[in-house]
Amino acid sequence: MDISLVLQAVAVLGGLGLLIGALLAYVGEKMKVQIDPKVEKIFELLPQLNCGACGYAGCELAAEAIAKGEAPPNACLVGGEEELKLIGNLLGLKVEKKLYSDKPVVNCGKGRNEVETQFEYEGLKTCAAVNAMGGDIPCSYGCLGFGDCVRVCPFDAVHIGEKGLPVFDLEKCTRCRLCEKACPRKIISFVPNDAGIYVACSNKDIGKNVREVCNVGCIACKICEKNCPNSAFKVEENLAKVDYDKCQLALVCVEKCPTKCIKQI
Amino acid sequence: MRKAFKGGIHPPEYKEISKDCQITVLEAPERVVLPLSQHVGNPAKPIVNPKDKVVKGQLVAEAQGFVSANIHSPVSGTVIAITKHPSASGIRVESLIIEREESDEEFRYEPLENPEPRSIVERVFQAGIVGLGGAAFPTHVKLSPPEEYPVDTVIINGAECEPYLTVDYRLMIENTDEIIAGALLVKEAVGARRVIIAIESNKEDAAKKIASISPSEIEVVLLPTKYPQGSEKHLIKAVLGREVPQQGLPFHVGVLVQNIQTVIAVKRAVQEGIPLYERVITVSGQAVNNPSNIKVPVGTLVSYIIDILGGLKEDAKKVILGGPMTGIALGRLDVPVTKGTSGIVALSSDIVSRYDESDTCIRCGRCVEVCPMFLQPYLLGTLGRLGRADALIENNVYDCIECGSCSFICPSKRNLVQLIRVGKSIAREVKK
Repeated sequence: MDISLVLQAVAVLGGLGLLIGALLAYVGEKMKVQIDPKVEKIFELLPQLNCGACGYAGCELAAEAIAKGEAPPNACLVGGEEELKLIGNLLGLKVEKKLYSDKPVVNCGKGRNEVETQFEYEGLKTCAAVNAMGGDIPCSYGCLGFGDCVRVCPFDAVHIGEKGLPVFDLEKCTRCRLCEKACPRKIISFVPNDAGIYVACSNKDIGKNVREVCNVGCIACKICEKNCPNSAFKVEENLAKVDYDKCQLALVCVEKCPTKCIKQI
Repeated sequence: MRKAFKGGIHPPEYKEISKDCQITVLEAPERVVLPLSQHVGNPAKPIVNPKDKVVKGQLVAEAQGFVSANIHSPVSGTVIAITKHPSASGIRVESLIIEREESDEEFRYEPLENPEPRSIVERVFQAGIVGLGGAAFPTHVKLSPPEEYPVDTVIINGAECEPYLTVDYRLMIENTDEIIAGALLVKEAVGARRVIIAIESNKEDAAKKIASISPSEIEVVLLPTKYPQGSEKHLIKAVLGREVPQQGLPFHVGVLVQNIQTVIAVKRAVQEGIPLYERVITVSGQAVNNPSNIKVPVGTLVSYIIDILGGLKEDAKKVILGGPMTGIALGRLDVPVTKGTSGIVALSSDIVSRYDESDTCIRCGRCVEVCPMFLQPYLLGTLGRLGRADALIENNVYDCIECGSCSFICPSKRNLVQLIRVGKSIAREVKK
């Protein structure tokens, strides 16, 4: 074969390659998309767990919002204090980590390990599935204890304790409230962070029916309502409710509650 | 014989256990429990108070709204409480509890002679009739299709595709006249041109019995035996070749489907004025000492029925209210039989399949092959487990009729129906 033919081909294709390369390099420079370098830096400082607790769909969008000033630098509820300060420095703002305004409590006093299940349940072992068929524990409002809250927690802050009730690790809990949403019986609720009492029951039946299924349930006797010096209690739908704005931690309720379903935290 | 619908399964039938047991009347219990919500729609509202005396057939709870049904007392006696009582679903529901007293008194409505279509529907509503095949959908609603969808064909559902159950079969053999009279009344009520009684091929003798005495406007059709033949949509497809549109109802294709026992109830309400307060159920299964087809007052406790029939065998493992495919496994036996209860099936430990915690799809595709709704159960199951509401809705989770064909066929023993049910409830929650 003629060697010149090979050289010709190399020269043509190589030249073409160089030409296109140069063109691409030029266009790439000319039409560059401006990314705010801050977004990337902020994103790196965020926990990147995409929990959504800040209200944005993932950490990347949150970083964008923070960089644009649409969200405060401490928008992230779960990030570490150090990181939040660094984000503040980046934006030239002084940041103090927000203290949590709330904390989770379990509105049930008896876990599945302390009650007698009504029958042998065979099937999918999740709270949602067991709840859909009425539940195997006597109380139709109480904690089922199959740990849907544990599985949904991205921070390893909930565990099923000895009694069979969820136990929170408030150090790890970031108040993202995914557990509250996951619980099919809605027995996890969030109370003010400085709350000192809570009602460990969710049963809305009348007292007689509650007593049939549980000895630590709220029987709607209204003793708390009558005795609270700050009138912080109200019994609604056969269940005691605390108005935390009024509660002064007199603790008369904890002492007087006949079934001890009002507990001190 | 017509062609069957596509998909479906052939579970063992076990109908021979109770097939030849004549319908007997059970001695009324001392106490009945009437849940206020034993039908699809709004719960009924009690119109009696504790300590009130009631007579058999008296209206004790009124329908609330159009999709709801009246409830009548099946016994004469005293209301002792209106309280939450355990129900088959495991949930405690508001129920009327009535204690029986010996009495011959009975309330009946005025029998109607040559009734107008409207008065038939009115009577069906008064008598509190609901679909007795199992769904318990108020019958007067079905008898009042919107005007723009005229019904030309009434199909009487005698498929009884659930294993074990033999209620409809016995009724077809023993109460043939009443079925024909009831079917004609239903036809009259909706102004249809013809009536078709559809029966599965495993009940050929019943089909012959009906055909031998039915007038010319009633056609008896034999269908291949296949589960879930008794599902409304599949019955219409098999009998008429018409396909009910997605999310649609039978009247969209000009059809009305009624169960065998429902038309008997219609006949009794119209011609004799008897409200719906009792029904026939099958008590069957390998763990039952005396399999039977019995007439019981609505509200009779399952435990009472089992006791009076001689109890359960020692190796009884599971008691199911309804058929084994779509029924509910009971957690306790002190729950009442409701209008929608078609049977009590007690299974022994060698029949009940082993429960397997693992949930591993081997991608064999058999669930897709048998799904009569053309869904992908393996996918819906997985999405249900993961709680992916949007993807569940995208894959038409609401079309699932929970017939259990997928769970039955799955070689990996996945609990597909349960997973899909959980998925449905998650999807509903999110939609709110």
